Amino acid sequence: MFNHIYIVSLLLYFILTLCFSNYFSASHLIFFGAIFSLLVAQFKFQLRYLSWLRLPLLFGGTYLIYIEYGTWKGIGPASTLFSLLVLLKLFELKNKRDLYSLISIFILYLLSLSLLVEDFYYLGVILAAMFSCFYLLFSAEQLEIEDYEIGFSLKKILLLFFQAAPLIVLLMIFFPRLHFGGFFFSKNVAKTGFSEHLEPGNISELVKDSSSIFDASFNKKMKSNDLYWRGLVLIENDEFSWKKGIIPERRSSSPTSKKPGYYVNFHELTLGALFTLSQTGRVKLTSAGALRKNKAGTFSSSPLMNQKTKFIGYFEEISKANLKENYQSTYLQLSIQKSEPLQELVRNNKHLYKLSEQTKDFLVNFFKKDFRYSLSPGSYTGSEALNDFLFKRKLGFCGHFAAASAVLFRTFGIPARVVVGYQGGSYNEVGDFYVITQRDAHSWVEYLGDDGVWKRFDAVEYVAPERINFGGETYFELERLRSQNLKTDSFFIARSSMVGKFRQYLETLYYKSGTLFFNYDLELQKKLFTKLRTTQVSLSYSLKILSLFLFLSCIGICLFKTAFLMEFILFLIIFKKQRIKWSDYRYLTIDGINLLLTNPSKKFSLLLSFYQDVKYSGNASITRKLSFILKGLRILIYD
Amino acid sequence: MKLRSQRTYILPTGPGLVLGLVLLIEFIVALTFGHPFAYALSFLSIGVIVISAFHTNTSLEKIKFLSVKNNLIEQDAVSSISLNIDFPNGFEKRVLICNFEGQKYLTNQVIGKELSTIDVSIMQLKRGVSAFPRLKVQTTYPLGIFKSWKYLDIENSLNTYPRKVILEESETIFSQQDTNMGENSTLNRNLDEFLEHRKFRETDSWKQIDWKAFARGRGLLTKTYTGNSEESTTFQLLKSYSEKDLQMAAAFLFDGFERNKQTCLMYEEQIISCGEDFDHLQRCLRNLCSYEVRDV
Repeated sequence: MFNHIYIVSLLLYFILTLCFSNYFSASHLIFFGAIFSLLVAQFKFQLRYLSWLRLPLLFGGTYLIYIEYGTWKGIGPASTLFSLLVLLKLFELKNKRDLYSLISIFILYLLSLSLLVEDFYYLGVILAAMFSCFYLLFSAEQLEIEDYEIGFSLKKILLLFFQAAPLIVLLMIFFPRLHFGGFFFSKNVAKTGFSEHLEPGNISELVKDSSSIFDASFNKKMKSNDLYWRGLVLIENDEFSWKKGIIPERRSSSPTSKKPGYYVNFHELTLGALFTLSQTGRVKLTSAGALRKNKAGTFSSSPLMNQKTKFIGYFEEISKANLKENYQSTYLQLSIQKSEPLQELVRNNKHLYKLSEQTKDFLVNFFKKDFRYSLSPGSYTGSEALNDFLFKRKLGFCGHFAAASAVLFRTFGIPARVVVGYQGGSYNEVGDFYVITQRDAHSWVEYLGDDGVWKRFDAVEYVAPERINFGGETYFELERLRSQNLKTDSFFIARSSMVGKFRQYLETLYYKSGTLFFNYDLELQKKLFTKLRTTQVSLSYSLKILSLFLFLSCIGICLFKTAFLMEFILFLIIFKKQRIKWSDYRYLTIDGINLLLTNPSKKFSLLLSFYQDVKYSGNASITRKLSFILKGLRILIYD
Repeated sequence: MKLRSQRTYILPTGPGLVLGLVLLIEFIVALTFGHPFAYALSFLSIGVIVISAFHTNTSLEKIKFLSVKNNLIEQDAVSSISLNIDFPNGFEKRVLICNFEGQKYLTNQVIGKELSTIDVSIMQLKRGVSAFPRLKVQTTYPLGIFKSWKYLDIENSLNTYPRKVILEESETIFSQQDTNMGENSTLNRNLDEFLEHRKFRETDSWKQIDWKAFARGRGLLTKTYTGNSEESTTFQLLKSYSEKDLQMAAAFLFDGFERNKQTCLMYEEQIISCGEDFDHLQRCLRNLCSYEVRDV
């Protein structure tokens, strides 16, 4: 029995550490692996003297934590320390008391790990691990029982979980999610997000990674060419490169819109730029963190308590840019070697000077004419890079187009800037939300219109409209199929097939539940209570809820109270024929039943023998019991 | 046997307190970080712990204590009291911890399931007839983080018979008494009269069966005589006897029972019981329990 507990503990540790392995450094994993091997050896070969290694391992482990993190404070070091403690406790697992200590450390280990992650699927891992911890507790209680049954213990813990489920759900919904800030463990360990420099080849490198960045849902239907997620504004030109500078603008006046436009949830812990749509006037953080409203209508945040950024964007009417007096020196700054073809282009189109809309139209035609969009255009380096792109190779990625367009706008005397962010996203039709991945990374240009409003110009929109209409993920997949001379129709057929739809349903379920789970805070609680107070619940709705409750209760009873249900159905059948009390029925034997019912039907006799068989066989399966229940119900209703 | 009251007491166990501390840490972390997973962990722990407390509290509810099998114990020795317990259908196996009040050091762990008998240790320092101490039945089922217990009043009286002295000593003293009481020896030999019928036991001689009674349809009965055995010995209690003498009497009775010898116990010329079976032994021991000794 103790061996069984030991094996379960080892397995639980192994699986848990494996699931969270990307949160431990390689050196820690190697260290844990070595201790784990020692534990297995100790268990297999009964090498008791190995437990003497506990103290050196503890010192070694804590030293390693300090070497890796530079501190003993924070969630990372805590989870590593608890992991070490679990392993060391497993060395001295001898009695019930040790087992209880181990389970306590296990729960703390699990708690520290849970703080490291914010992906919804980890909830499954956490629940399974907690289930295992309670299973170990139950097993510890059953140590003295010789013919211990694993199945019985699992069933018992499952029953405990089911019984506790209503209380857990009620607490999850109604317990006030007050936030007391990080007075105990606050530490900001967010990673830096998007690059603040744009080299033309940067984005083509980014899109090779397909990891998801954030998801977004809207309160209204959006067109794909509206989905330009602005992150950074680059204003300083240096040949074919662009970088951040001091923006000659004032922050826009306080926004007025109170109706949320869209909801964004980041998938990674990110420090820096928030990606917002161009009409966004206001942003409200719904996760713990500090929000900063930057100039040029961009936002950035510093997450706190390792919380991934979540925010609500509010749309505003597009207004004039609030420019400072000296804006032209910045927005018209160019640091390029004006090549002969470029000078000729400007000379030939002198009439466009300072006319933004005409210049835009000119550029549309210019790029549309013989430019091509490619993920692998080759490298553009040196002082001739811009010239090479514009007048020779004419092949590039969004970064090349954006960098070149901005230069051309400025050459024609129109203030312009490069914007870096994401465009599009994969749309889930079932759940009506977008998932924006690294493959949607994009850059484009904003130019100052004649009316003083910043407008978007994206050359890719004209060179490769499919990229904008379908989004990066789909576009690159189509490109891959084309490069292999495969039909692109199969992609769309697969997406609209049953499997594709089912995948979308699963994604939606995951997204909706995850969003609700992670965004459920005090504000949402208040909204829920207000809604509950004001909603008039209709009779049909109440009946639906009641039916669902009854249905779930029936399933619960069928699974866990089959013995009682069998008895009860048999009692009802007998009661239908002969009025007896439940208390009397309980003392009735099979012979007693036969005597009581003078002329039992053949079906009932068969049922009774089936009952006898199921009840006294000792190990009747659940299916046989359920079969008895169904047969009993049939006789009860029709006989 | 009856329950003093339906009240069940419940408290966290040592491991339960440690787990409570862990739960508190979980909760503080949840409040501090505002992390949904930390909340989920805390609420999950709270939910399961509350339900397990409920289970612990009700786990003694359906157990029925039916009767005490024996209420005769030896003075100054750890004895076992057997209790008949009825576990309801579907009752799951669990550890029950039983001990009599004030006798914590004599705690018994029993595994309960279905109808069974459980033995609980008890030790009484004084000989005599007294009330049973309260029985405490405790369980930590299902998770061991709470313990619940109930007290049970046993209505029967507890008979504590004198401590047995060691055999050699008993035999010596008994021989002396036998010699001193020459009358007793005579009485043994002359009392060769039919005493009673008793049910036939496998160890009985066929010669002792009353075949006439069998022919009359009364079943197999063994005839017993007051002095039918050569090995029959009698112990006569006198008013002047001390505790030590009673202890010797107990040893004498047990010795007779173990050797399957017929023994008789007399008090002031009156036969209390004669025989060699367990019932006779019990009858005699009960008498010894209530015997008043002279003041020393």
